[in-house]
Amino acid sequence: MEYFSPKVRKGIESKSKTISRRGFVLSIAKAGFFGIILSRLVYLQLFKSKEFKQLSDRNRYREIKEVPERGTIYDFKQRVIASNNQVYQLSIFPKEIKNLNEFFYSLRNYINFDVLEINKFKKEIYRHKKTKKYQAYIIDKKLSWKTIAKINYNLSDIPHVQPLVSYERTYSFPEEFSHIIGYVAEPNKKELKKISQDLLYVPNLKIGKNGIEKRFENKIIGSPGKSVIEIDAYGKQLKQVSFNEGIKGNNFYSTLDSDLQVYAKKVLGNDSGSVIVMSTKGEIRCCVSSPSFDANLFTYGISNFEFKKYLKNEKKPLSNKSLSSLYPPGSTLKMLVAISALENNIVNKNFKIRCTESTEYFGQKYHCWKEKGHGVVNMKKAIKESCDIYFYEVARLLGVDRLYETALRFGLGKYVLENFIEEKKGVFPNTKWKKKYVGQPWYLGETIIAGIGQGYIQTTPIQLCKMIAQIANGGYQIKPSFNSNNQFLLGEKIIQNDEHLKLIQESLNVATNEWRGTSYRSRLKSGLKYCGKTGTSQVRKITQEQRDLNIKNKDLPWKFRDHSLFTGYGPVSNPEYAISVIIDHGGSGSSKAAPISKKIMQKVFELYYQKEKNV
Amino acid sequence: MYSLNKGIIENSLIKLKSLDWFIISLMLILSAISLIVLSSLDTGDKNLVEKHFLRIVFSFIVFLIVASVNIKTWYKFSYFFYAFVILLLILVDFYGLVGKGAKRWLDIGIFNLQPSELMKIAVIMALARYYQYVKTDEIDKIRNLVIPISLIIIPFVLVIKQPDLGTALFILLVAISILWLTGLNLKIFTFGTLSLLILAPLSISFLKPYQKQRILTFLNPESDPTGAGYHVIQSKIAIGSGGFFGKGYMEGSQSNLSFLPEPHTDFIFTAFAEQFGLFGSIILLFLFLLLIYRIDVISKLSRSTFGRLLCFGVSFNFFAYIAINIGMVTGLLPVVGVPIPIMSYGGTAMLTSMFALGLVTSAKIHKDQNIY
Repeated sequence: MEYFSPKVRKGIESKSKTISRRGFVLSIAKAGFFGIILSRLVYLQLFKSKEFKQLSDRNRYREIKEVPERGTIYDFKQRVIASNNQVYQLSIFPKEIKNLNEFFYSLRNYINFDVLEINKFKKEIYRHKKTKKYQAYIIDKKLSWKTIAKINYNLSDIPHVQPLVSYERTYSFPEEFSHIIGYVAEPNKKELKKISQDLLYVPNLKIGKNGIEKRFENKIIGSPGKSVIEIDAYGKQLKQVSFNEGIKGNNFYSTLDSDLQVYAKKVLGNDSGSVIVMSTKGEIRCCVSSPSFDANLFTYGISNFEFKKYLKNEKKPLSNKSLSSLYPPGSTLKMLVAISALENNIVNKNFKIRCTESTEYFGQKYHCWKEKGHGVVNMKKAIKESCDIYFYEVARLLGVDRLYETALRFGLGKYVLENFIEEKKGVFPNTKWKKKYVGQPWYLGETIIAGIGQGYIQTTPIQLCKMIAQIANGGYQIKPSFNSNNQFLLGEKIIQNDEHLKLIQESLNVATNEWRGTSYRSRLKSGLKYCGKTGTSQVRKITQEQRDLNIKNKDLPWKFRDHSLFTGYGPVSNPEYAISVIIDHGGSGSSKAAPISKKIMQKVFELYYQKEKNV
Repeated sequence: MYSLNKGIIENSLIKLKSLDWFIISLMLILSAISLIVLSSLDTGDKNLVEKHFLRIVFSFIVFLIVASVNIKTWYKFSYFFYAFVILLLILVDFYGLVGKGAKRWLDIGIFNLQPSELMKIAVIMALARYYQYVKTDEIDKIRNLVIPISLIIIPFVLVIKQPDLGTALFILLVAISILWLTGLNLKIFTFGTLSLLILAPLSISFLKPYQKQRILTFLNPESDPTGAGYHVIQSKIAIGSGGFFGKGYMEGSQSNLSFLPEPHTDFIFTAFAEQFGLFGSIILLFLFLLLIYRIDVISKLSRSTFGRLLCFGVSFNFFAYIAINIGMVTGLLPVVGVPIPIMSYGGTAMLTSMFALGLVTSAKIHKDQNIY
């Protein structure tokens, strides 16, 4: 070799060997590290790739869901009860914003914010970021169309925002329908867990909280619109990737009549109570609870002050008394006791009894409401004049378990509507029930007072209305509802003997339309007639002492006064509408509930029988 | 005259023939890939592709010149070059440009020179030169350790002062690899590592706050997703979301929509991996592996200790670049600002890489040259 040097220094050969050897060790280390890198890449790009793809899409795409328009709620004459207002708002994307101050500062070029407002929004956004990081936050400020148009035009220069059209629920009769239509508000945590997948993460979503809004939520709510927008790292919009228009919820055609509802609310005035009118087939025309509240206040968050005011009111404006208040039915149960006794052949229509002021069972005194007694009474008279002594005896002969069977068939102690969260079931007791829930045997005295609708019996106004409707329609079971799409057909016959039915109907007729009847003073003098049974249910036990002192109901504090009830139907000749009126602590049935019923039945006849006045 | 000219031409032809075409083709392929990736990132206002292309051309000329110079000349030139870079580092301390909280660059007109990058090669050359004449049996002697350790410590201190911990550690790592190759006794390495471990906690107290932050965020990047950990998180998302075949050319949402910071310099591998997936990444890794392997082969051909050490040093240098860069962008290592050779957009790094490959090629052309 020409470059070969003869003078190889000692150690050079071994030196290159050393370098090669050590170089080889180094190569192994290099290969090892490359192996680590390779496996890291495989880990990231194969095993974790799905996860990272999601994260990358979350960076890149902004998904905006739009609040769907809720279905309109109509009354049975197709007048609007609940509808929606369009509002323009601005949604912002907190996860993209690094400096909120700067953001609001630049936004002030388009929207007038005052400092207090900005501070409020900032606080809310911080809170929002903690729990709903990837969701849009809606600035709770209604914007004009002009502002929205301006922002839309300059959208490529304003990062992190997206104008949106939203819907705000409004109620045409915010006070009159508030209980039965209900209201909407933001879902709470528990409700969010149950909400359907596509409604999840819809900013500013309001859901039905009670009433029809809640019961028919699935139909009314609709499905949200969704658009996907591509953005860059600075939060600027690049393009719309996809857009699905939202679908408005189904309209709800209710059986309610806003004329009647408004009128009934007016008649009730400041009284605490409820009015229900339904057709004898079960179409609920009117369902008022009083006092009431403004449902529109709830849509965008009621103030704490207002809410507390409602809560503190002893007349409980927030509760839907028609469905959820429980009352002893009092004398309004008497026709049911009569039906049960007749159908079970315990007594016949000629069964007579002599009513003095009081009677005695097992050493205990039972009083009639009439101080000097009714004298000799038969069934018709007993119902007409509401003789307590007569029904004590009938109930004693009948027994509570047979009465229970009949009451159950008429729907007492059972839900009237399906899946209405505020509805209460009430109680109709029997011997087994008492053993199970009270833990004591049934006493005969309890049977006796059950005959006049007192004791353990707890019913809701709508149960009483259904009961009387089933007497009015010829003794057929019905399924009352607010949904006019339901088929309102008569069901099973629950009064077998038409003679019994006739007797009861005739008794009710004379109770209103014949002299000495309990609601004679509230009869309709001309035109169509209605009839019904009054009831006065005690909320306290009257002691002998009080009886002797002859304390008047109106002298008692409001809370201890009797409830005033009336259940009835009309027109007498061809019953089509049933009514139940209950005034909390209103005194006797004939003094308070009956006059209200008269007014409302008159309105019913005016509304539905205009052309055929002479029926 | 004629015969002399003829001799020069013949000589040049021989040199041209013995140029390492393997390395050159790898170099060109990698350059092409880097241009492709950069053009996918170019938003139009920065002319990244053009500038990078010019740098490739310029560095390639430097490569050819360096390759044609005799390895013996480079041997003689080593200390001078080392001293020159040290001088540049001192100049940086006085006249350096400030960026990202550190003085790292010198403005030399055409581009900003980063002397610490050059030092990565200079230290290899100086050490290789020193060990040319140290006998194997005398290597472990203390008097033979004084000079190499000084050669390492001086630039290390200068670079750490900038402050640039990443590059300083890089220089240290490469220098240690040379010491390893010379056959230095294992005991000395053990002793060195132990003393470093003891010194490490002490040295942490001298770290700048941002450096401490980087180490902390490396340990848990999710602790600060919008701040210091942002780079790594976004980089991992980009690489991972690429999947097996990638999102496709120009379809890398992370790098194209600016979610990935600095996609053209330190994070260019991320941009590549997002667009071309695991498939592309493996090919790219393979190309780099081939390059390193080729340099190792040339190293073994070299007759002189200087040539051998130099080539092994360069190969390790390349390995360290790639390993640290990819380790960093995949979240295996802290973000220390190490570019990937040839691909990353950056003048000095490109020049250093080409210069180093030039030295390797020179060592190949003059493989039989003995150095006295």
